[in-house]
Amino acid sequence: MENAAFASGAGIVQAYPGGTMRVLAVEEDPAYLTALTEMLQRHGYQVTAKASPEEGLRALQDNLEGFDLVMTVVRTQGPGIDGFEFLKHAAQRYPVILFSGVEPEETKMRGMLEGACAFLTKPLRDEEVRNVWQHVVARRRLNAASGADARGSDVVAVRQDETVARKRGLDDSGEGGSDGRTAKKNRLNSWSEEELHAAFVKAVEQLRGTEGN
Amino acid sequence: MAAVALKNQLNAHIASMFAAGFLDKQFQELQMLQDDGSSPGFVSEVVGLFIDDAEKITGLIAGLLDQPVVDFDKVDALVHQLKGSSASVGAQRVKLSCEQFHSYYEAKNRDGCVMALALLRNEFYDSRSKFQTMFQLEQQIEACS
Repeated sequence: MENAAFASGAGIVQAYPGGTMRVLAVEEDPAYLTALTEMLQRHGYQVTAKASPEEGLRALQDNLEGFDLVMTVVRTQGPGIDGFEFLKHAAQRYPVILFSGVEPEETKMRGMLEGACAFLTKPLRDEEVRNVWQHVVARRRLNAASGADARGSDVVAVRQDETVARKRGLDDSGEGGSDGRTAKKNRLNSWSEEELHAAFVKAVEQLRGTEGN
Repeated sequence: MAAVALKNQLNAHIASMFAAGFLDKQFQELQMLQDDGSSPGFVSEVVGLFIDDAEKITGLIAGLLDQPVVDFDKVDALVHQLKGSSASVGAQRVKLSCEQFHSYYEAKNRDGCVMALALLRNEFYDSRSKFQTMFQLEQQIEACS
């Protein structure tokens, strides 16, 4: 079922935890804003389109929880802030993809250093548009890891859950007994982010009794 | 029967636009978005927006070049905008004309920019005319269906 859902790009986007991914797309060129919106929607994204970074910033301020990703043009002609200024505000909370016509590498570097997760060249290829969800997932993992470092008790709770699951005979990892638990405790501080996440998922599945299904 | 003939005419017209360099593969990307059935009229909408925007931008460039002191930075910005806009719809000749403009405003050469603008406008008007023929044929096909 999971593989079927992921068979199409729209499937991946719509299987996103919390529902369809919501993109704020900002572009001064009306033709390209229309084209980009259509491309995103075709891949299952829910799109809010704004014609300037100024309008985009207002949209964010009016609905802080309303978006998962921001895509904005860099260069603008109209009054108000440009894409770089918009980036400074948006990148604090959202993954931001910048896009522009052909730009020097220095401009792209500036964008990345100032917080963008990608700097793409217009017109974006269909595959690039389809895959923007990856930046959302990457940001979520980064935020989760930052949160886990600060909350040591959550890590202890994961370890305690595994201990409970083991007592119920659901854990076949072969690390049973006090020696096994001590060894695992000593390893805990050396776990990478991926190991920590995998341990958390395993613990949840064990508690649900779904591991291996 | 009439619809079939018109479709053949439209396909030939689009093919000739590609062959003559008016269009590049980005236009095919737009056509694919329309051809999947979910967005009829999408290409004409996007190209229509491009035509309106390009008309406005070339007018602004002309106005800047008319000034006693030319703001070449603004000319640069507008040409960059038009280049991006033409690239996004696959209007290749317009895009290439924008690239040729570059050396003149880099050199702050007003006469060169005026000449480049004239060439750019020619390419834009030719492209616009081709697009308008394309959309007229599409409308005739739609009327036959």
